[in-house]
Amino acid sequence: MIGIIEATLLIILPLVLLAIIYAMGRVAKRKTGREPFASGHKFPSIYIPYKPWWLYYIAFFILWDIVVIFILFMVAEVSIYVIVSLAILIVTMIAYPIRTLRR
Amino acid sequence: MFEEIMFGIKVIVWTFAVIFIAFLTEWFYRKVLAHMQHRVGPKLAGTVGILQPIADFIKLMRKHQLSPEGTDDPLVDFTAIFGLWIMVILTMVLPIFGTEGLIGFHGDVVFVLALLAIASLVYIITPYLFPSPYPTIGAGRRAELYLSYEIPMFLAFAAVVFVAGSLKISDIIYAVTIVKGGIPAGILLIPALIVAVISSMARLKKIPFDIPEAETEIAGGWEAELAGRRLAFFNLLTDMKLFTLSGLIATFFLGGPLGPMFVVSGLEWLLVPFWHAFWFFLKTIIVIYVITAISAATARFRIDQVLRIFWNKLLSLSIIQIVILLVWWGL
Repeated sequence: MIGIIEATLLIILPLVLLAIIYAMGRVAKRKTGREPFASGHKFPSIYIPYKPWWLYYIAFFILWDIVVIFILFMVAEVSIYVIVSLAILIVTMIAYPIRTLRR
Repeated sequence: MFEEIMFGIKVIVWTFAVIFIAFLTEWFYRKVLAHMQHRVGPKLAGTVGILQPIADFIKLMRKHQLSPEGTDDPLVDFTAIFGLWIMVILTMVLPIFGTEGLIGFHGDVVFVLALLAIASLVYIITPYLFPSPYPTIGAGRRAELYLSYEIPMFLAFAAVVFVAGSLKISDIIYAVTIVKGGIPAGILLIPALIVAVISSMARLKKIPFDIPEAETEIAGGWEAELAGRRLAFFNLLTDMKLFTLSGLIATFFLGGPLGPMFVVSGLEWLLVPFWHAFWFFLKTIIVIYVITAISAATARFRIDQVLRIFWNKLLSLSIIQIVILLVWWGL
């Protein structure tokens, strides 16, 4: 088991090292506001009117699946927790507005 | 205090070592892929091109950093460093030189899966920071892909944890050696292994699951606007992810560092870590080779095909795997 000092070192040291390596890269940017996209043609930057509102659901999904899998992991025998977790899994899978289910 | 200093030195050495291993992984992937496509692959930098990924990294670090007007630059810089940092921390859990990694604690499996989920979120959020259509479309595809592969992959890992009955990686490496009712767990876990390998390919965006970048359709997709040091860091992140995921599959399904050892008495301190590392890297390389072979042999799926594969087939397979294990457990 690692202590608080080790945990702090574990978090800080790689972050600092990577930040130093990143800072060694070239920072200079092109001056123009008209940047080329991947095609190589120059045209003004545009904002996409499309708002990723469903990003919230992805963040929620990440928390949810970690919690459910955690419950699954903790129960190493057939019990009500396993059955309920699988039921939640299937219900949520159907409830998500994924493209295949829109058809 | 001395122990803390030594631990700090270990962390620094580990960080650089794992970056070097990520470069070697990329070289191996490119070389094998080229061989399968009847090409030579990297050959100019170093012997048999082994230094080519490092040369590419340095070249990208020296390039101009393109950034379209309206980009959230500080946040893009942060995600580039943060994503790589997560992967470095993840590799510290891998049991390379023994049955335990640099860090190991009860519940480290959940820690690993949580960090993998956060790393995926980095890939989804970063493209949204650019006011450009290509990354936005790529991020949307990435998110859809993420929702598809996440549950089957977690269930595949859950199957191994179920067999091991522990949340600690140092216990999980012994899961495949458990025999019950005359049937070894390693054989029963083959469906979960298949699910884990295919889901890992989707997580890595390897062909045939490279729809978030799809050069011929959306010009690189999520990484279309990345340039210079940002692209260098995200490329390194992808390489490190390939090594980490292959290492995790080797740990969970192939016994990780376990294998026959030939140890001379008096040299245990040197030979035991050597053999552990040997078996771990051998198994990891086999997994990387399988991933590369599938990538070389297949063409890109459409997004709807991918979703159908994961939600209909692989999710079913992983649930069947859990049921098989429940029956096996009752023997």
